[in-house]
Amino acid sequence: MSETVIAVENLSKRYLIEHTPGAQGYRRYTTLRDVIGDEVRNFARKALTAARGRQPFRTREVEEVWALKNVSFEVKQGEVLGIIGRNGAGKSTLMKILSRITEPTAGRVTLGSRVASLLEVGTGFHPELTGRENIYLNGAILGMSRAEIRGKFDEIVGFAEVERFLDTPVKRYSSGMYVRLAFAVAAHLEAEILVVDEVLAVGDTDFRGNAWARWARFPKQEKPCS
Amino acid sequence: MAEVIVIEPGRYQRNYWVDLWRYRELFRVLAWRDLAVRYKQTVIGAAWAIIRPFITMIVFTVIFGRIAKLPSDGTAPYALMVFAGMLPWTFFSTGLSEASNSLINNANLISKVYFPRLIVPTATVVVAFVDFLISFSMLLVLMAWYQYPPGWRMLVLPAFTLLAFLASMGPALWITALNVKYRDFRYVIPFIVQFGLYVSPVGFSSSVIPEDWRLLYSLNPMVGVIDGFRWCILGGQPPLYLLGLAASACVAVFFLWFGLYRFRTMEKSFADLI
Repeated sequence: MSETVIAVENLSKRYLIEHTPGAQGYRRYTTLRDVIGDEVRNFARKALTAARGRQPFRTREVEEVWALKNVSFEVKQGEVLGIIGRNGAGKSTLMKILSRITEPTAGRVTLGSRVASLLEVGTGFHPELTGRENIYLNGAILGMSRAEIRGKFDEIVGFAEVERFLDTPVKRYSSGMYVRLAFAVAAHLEAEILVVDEVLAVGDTDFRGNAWARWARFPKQEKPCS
Repeated sequence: MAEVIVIEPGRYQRNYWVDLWRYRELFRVLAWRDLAVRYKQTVIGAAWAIIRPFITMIVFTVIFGRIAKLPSDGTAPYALMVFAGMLPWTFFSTGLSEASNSLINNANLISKVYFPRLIVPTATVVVAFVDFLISFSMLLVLMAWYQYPPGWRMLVLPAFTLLAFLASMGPALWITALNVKYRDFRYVIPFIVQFGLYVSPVGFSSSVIPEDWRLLYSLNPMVGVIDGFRWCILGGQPPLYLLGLAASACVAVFFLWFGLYRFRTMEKSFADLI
């Protein structure tokens, strides 16, 4: 029973944040236009300083942010590990690495079996599709096979209490129904290792209790969550 | 213990193709979603796949065939020749533009779930392919209208369809990767498509190109595809220019390799950038 299922050794993740002097504040994303503009501006600045016979100065500052540095821990079979910390402590980054969404900069993680990760409920829900279609879509995105979803379909629908609206596009759902449906699919996710990030922050207390009760029925699972 | 997954810097790349196969179910579901959404949102839905090439065909036939008086291929009616060219071109251009925007449109998936990212742009091509099939039925109607019987060469058509698919995937993968990094890149795509429409022999036959320039002209991969389509559909009247076809295929394969290579190098940073 005490086999190690998750082994994290010296895990580090670095993000590079660029500060370009002269550019207007922080950009949500880069555009080619900005890149070309910045290059031209930097080039002009360098040329000017060189023409004046001065040492060229660094025009671009790249700040290193270590979201994670030398993190090591182990999780054994049957354990539930919770990670708490302040904003920006790196909880979500750790979850993202564990679920293979992003690569670590250094270190290694060994996972004993397949991971199901739940960083958000209702990932990939499409407003135009009906409740029924979204259950299949969301289930597949979370890594369930079609047979598995079909087997649990009635349970999911019952859990979400949306029987009457199964063939209504989810854009017409109330926000409560939407969240319940999204949650219901997630709650029926079964895997040896379950990575959960802040998804329990939605739904009312009863509903949250139900979800935990469901997961608690599978003693083999690991559930790190933040 | 069924399998051990190791996460390390650089590890991502190794069992990539195995993973791609393992996630085929997701590919199927995403393709189905794109299809379902496409035909739910537009009232015209499937009709759009017929109306668009049909109207373009009429315009091109009038402009190139009647006003500019360009020659058709052999005895084929000009409209039929144009439609035979429109068919792979619309497949190529919708495939290219849908795939190029696919990663941005699925940003929430990319940042929340792991799967081989290659699935997203390839799944969108399925939509383009269904449109292609609808337009193809339109072609059969046109052939019946002009009483132009299809020959055995129609059987080679899937090969050229595959070439069109490969030709669209290469640039699409490259552009979609660039699109994640530079968000204004999407404005370039309609330009490429518009430009390509006139550079490729869609509205005219490639036989109007002077002999000396044909090999150079065939470096556009769509030239080989469109010529191939016309050869199949119009009954081989302009004999296939094999050297040009080989050139087109080589360029398409090269771009596919290049697009895949660029996509794979940028792929691991998608979740951080998007």
